[in-house]
Formats: sequence, C-alpha cells, structure tokens
Amino acid sequence: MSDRFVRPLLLFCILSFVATGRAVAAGGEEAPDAGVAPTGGGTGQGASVADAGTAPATQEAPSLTEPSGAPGLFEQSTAAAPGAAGAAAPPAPLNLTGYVRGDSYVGKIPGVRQAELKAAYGEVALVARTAKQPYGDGFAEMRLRYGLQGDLKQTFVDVREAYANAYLGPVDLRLGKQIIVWGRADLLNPTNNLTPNDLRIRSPIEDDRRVGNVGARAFLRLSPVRFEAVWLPSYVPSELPQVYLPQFVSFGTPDYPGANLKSWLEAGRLHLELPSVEMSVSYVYGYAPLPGLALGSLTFDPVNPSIVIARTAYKHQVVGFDFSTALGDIVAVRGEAAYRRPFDYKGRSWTARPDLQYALGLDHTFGSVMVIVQYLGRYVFDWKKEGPIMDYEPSVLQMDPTYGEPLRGQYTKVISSDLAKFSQMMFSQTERVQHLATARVEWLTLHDTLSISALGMVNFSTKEWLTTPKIGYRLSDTMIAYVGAEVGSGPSGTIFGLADQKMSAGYAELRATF
Amino acid sequence: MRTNRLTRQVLPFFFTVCTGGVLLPQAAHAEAALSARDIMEKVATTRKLDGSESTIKMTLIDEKGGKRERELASATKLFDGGKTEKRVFRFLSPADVQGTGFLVFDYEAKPDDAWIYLPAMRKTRRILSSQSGQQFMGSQFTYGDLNTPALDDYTYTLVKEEPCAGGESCYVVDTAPKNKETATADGYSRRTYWVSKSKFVPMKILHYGPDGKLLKELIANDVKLLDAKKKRYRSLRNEMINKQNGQRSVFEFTKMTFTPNTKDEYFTPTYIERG
Repeated sequence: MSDRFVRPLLLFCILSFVATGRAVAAGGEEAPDAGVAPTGGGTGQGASVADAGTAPATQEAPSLTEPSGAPGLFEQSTAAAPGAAGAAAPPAPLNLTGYVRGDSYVGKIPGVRQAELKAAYGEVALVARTAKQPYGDGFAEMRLRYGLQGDLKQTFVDVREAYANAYLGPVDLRLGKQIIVWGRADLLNPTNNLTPNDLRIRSPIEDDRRVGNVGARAFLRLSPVRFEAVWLPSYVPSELPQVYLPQFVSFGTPDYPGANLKSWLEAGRLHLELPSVEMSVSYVYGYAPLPGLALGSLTFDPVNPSIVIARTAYKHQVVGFDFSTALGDIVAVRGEAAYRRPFDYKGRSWTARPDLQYALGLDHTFGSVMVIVQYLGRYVFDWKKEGPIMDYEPSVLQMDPTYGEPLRGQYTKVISSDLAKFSQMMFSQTERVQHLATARVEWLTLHDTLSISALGMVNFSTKEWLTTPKIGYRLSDTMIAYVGAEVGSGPSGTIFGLADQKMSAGYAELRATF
Repeated sequence: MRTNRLTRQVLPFFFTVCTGGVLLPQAAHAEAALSARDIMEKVATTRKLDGSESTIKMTLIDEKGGKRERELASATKLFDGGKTEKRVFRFLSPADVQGTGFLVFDYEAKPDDAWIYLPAMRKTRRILSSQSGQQFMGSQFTYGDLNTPALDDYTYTLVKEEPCAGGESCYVVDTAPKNKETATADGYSRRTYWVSKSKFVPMKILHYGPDGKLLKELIANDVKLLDAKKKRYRSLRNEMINKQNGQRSVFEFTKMTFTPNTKDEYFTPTYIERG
C-alpha cells in the first residue's frame, strides 16, 4: 500500500472518528468537563479559609471575591515548589529536584559457572521545572552516570528531556527533547512507536530506559475529543543489550537517516475521553525506533578478515487503536492493537515484516495485592521462516581473497541468512503467530514502606520467558532500597536465548531523592 | 510498580479527605426529635460543596514519633446538579511522587470513574475506585474510614447527647454494619460518632475492630464554615490515632478556598497530564 494512498485514507478515518466521537458525546454520556454549572453560590464568589492553625475551633470564614478566570489555588499550588503549599509567597521561578542512586548488577558469565559484575554505577539526576504560568512552563532532566554498563566503564551524560510547554487556549504545544509514550496496555504497547528505549541501561524503574528525542507535540482539546500531533525530525534508535559477537564480527557505522526534512517521523492520535471509557486511534509514519541488521561489509583476508554489521533503520507506518474502561467496580479492562506495515520489506533482512499485534489486559486488587494480567498476540503477514543460524567458522574468513569464489559466495549467503534470522529475532517475528501472557503482582505492606512485586512474561509460542521479582523498602521519605532480579531465558534462536546469560542478573539499588 | 502503591495510597484520601466523607460536615440547625438515622443522613447528604480548591499536608507519625510528610493540592466541583462530584488531586511533594495526579468522578448511584497520571509511566490510566478497607498512603486511615458510607448498610442507635470538644454539644450515635460483608470490608465491628448538634459535623469517631476492641480514634478539629449560604462546613484538621500500635496520621488543609467557579478544565485527563 503506497504512502500516498494510506495517509489520506487515515486522515479520513480520523476525521470520521472525530465526528463519531462528538456524536456519542452529544447523545450519550457526559463529557469529562461538560458538567452542569454548580447550583447556588454564584460565580466569581469565593470564600477562603486560611490560617487554619490559629483560628478558633469553629468560626465563620470571611467571604472573598476572586476574579473569574484567574488562576485558582489549585493551579497556583501546582506551580509552586514543594514546601510552598499554603504559603502566601509566590512560587519559586525554578524548582530543582532529582535523585542519586547506586546500583550493582551481578550475574553469571555465559557458559561458565562463575559470577561477574554486569553493571555497577552511580547516577545523579537533576530535574528542573520552571514555575507554571498560565501560558506555559519548562522542564529539563539531566542524568550523569559513571560506572560499568555492559562492557563499558565510563561517564555517561544524558540530557534526557528538555522542553518548553505553551498553553494556548485549546492548544497545548510542547517543543524540545521529550519522551512520548503511547498505549494503554501494561508493559508492552503495540502502538508505542515514537521515542526509543535504551535496554543497556539497568534500573529497577522501567521508565529509566526510555530515551528522549527532539521534536514537537501538540494537543488540540475539543472535549471529549482530543487530537494529538507529533513531529520528530531526527532519528534516535533503540539500543539493545550487548551480546556476544563471534570472532571477526563487529558493528560498523550504522545506516540511519540524517536530520533532514525527508526523514522525520510524523504521527497523529485522536483521543475520545468519556467518563466510562477512553479510546484512541493513532497513526505513525516514519522510521521505526528499533533498527534491523544489515551486512555492511565482508572481507576475506588472511590477516584482517572482518564481518561488519550495520544497524539499519527502516520506514514503516503503524495504525493503532486502544481503549480502557472499568467493569463496575470489579475489574479494569484495557485493550490495544496495532497494524504495522514496513515499506519495501521484501528481500531486506533489516526490515520487519507487516504484523498485527493485539493486547487485552485486566487488573484487580485482592486485598492489598494488586494483579494485572494481560494477553498479547502477534500475527506476522507474509511470514517467512529464517534460519536456523548456521555454524560460523571464523577461519573461513582468512582464506585468500583470490581463491575459492564459490566458497566465498556460499559463505556470504550464510552470513546474510544469519543476519536475517537475528533481525527476525529482534523484531519478535520468529513465529507466524505468537501468544504471550504477562502478569504483574504487587503486595504493599507495613504502611506502604515495603513492596514486594514481580513481573512475569511468557511467550508460549517461542518458549521465551522473563521474570523480574523486586523488593522495595522505603527507609524514609527520601530513601528507598531495592533488591531484585531480572532473569530471562529461551531456546536458541530466540532473543532471550541469545541474551539470557548476558543479561540475567540480581541487583541491589539504593536511591535517595531530593 | 509505583502505580498500585500510589493508587492505593491516594485514592481513598482523594475520595474523602479532600472533599467529603464522614469528616465533612454540613450546615444544619439542630432539630428536635431527630433519629440516629436522621442525624447520619444529615451528615452524609448535605456535605457537598459546590466547588473548592485546597492544599493539604498529610503527616504520618509512627509509634516512635518519626514523621513522614506529603503535600498535595486538590480541587473539587459539583456537576449534574450535585449528583456528581469531580475531584482532581496532585502531589506537590516528596520529590519522587511530585506531579502524580488523580481524577475522580464520584457518582451517587454508580461506581466512580477514576484515573491516575504517573510521571514515571507518562500516561493516564483508568483505575478502579474500590479500595475499601485498605490503608492509604501508609496512614491509619482507610477508604472505609473516609468515604461516605452507604446509609442502608448500617444500623443506627442514638446513645445520648453530651458536651464534646470545642464547646460543642454532640449527639452520640452508634453504628453497626448490617451484614458480615460490610463488616469485613470496613474492618470494624462498630463505630461510635460524636456529631455536633449545631453543624452535624462528626467531632470524634471511635472505631472498634472485628474483635470488639477499640482500634482507632478519629479527632476532627478546626471546623470552618465555607459556604455560608448553604451552611457547609469542613473540619480542616483530622487526626486518626491507632489505639493499639500508637501510630497516628494527620490530614491538615493548609489552605482552602470555596470556589464555585473552579475551572472545569481541571477535571479532565488532559489537565492532570500536564504534571
């Protein structure tokens, strides 16, 4: 399906959705902010009660008139720095918070019964918020991390986010480096294809692995409908954990789009938000955050043989839908689905094949235990079985380049086939149909100072599994300690099978917030 | 992982302490020959405020005197002629929960709709409002302590009338759950209310555990009249003392305004996502 055809079609769908949503709102349920004006009391009248600690036990409060439309106490308070609640002083122009954390991840050396340090570092995060004004505010987060991450021991500096918001009537505009997350499912979101993840970062907090990208995000609020538009002009790839590379194999210069107007990502999402249900349809056009693997170069040489792999970005478009609602007061229900169609995928090992992903989840609280269970499925269109991964014999690369052309050709095919298989594993497309289940359980006790939780995922089709048990203990309001593990496994020919011993680890973290 | 903790911590608080529940008084003049049920109906049915905005400090005090504090901002507004109360709520501190937002539509006749925005998750999630019987935010309060109980689920006995705190004269009303399910959900075998005769404000509540022993005591102070026209009051300081383990929790409205013209846009998922 060509880009020229799809985009106008999607625009039409979105406009139809707008019309439908407004009709539903008009004829059915009350919109979230379309309530009836309060009875009595009048408008523009306000009574204030302050000095709570000094007033007599009971007394009548003075009535004050507040200008209609002016920022109220709620808005003023949320603009203020912590500690200013209730204070008469204006909010500080800048609110600085953050955390310091120390982490150690210990796992097993692949193939050897011996422990090794997988990651160990200290990190400081500084979060700056400007005072919220009626027309906007600003936000920035910088992280500075030093230590061992994967095989690298160095200092990592990351301006994770830095953006300004403008509130212009019904339009909210955010410009700058930002993280955008879409989808209503838990853990895995088929519609979330905007900003990337860095899976090399080890942290008990899932959000720590998200990576920002520069761009613009705008909302047009026409309650109960909200239109969201995203524009990301530059490409930032998702990063995968380091894996063992065979002899003579290395990653070379990646093939990513440059920062030009032809390579931007554009996306739109239409939200319908009613009291009883919220849903959205979305469309993404641009480069997929997770690139594939292509053969950069293959050098047969007795002295300096090499196989250079190029991480290569590809373009796709994704149409998505998600919803959430509650069934009485018993269970919350969430669903999400996305159809992804890469461009020119045939014959390109670095490009995913079209697929349909769908998720349906339920959550409920049993006493003090919260449980979220979810089913996820994936159907790959035009699926082709890749591999299996061939045995690699490094010495073949050391043959004389002038000798054995048929053998070299055969070997090149083997390498290309292996890369196609690896890409298929990365894209989670090793089976035509896949069935996954996830479960998240958390028990909170000791007056919410102790949390015991676990996240589990099983892919019944590929036999991969992952579990992340975690215990968190709040030593004080500003100090929390975590111990836990991230353990995954799978058969050979799967991504977890490839990375399990490299990534599986137990960890301890101490985090102080300020 | 934070989702559930915050959900359970905050929702019950959000449901009641900010705006309603048994702690929220109503304005009414003492009337003769009121039954126990009449008294509790007045406490429950005329408590709502057309609109309000407030800042709150919550202090959790352990048996050794150690304190943990939370600061919050909230806004409420009545819709549908008072049948629906919408509440929005946001953490101001501590830093690790700053920006967390809650939105609740509290209906009279059906389960509430509720959403949470967690900065760490970067999206608004619908959540269930049924957290009854659970402690919230690690405090001594439970959802059942703070929410307005369904009147038909309890029996009421007017025990006596006597002076109570603040120079008030109070009705003393015993309430007991009608069935085992309600008792189990509440975690109490009975409760005794001291209700101000002039304002129909619960000034003190004793909570008895399933074994019949005194478990907790609620003390409400600093009662203010916020809507003079409708005579709606609120107690601005509420302290729950666990009589068995010595721990206490205090909710204080550090500032509150009666604002019928509270902006409608506060009560939308979009607004809580602004962080």
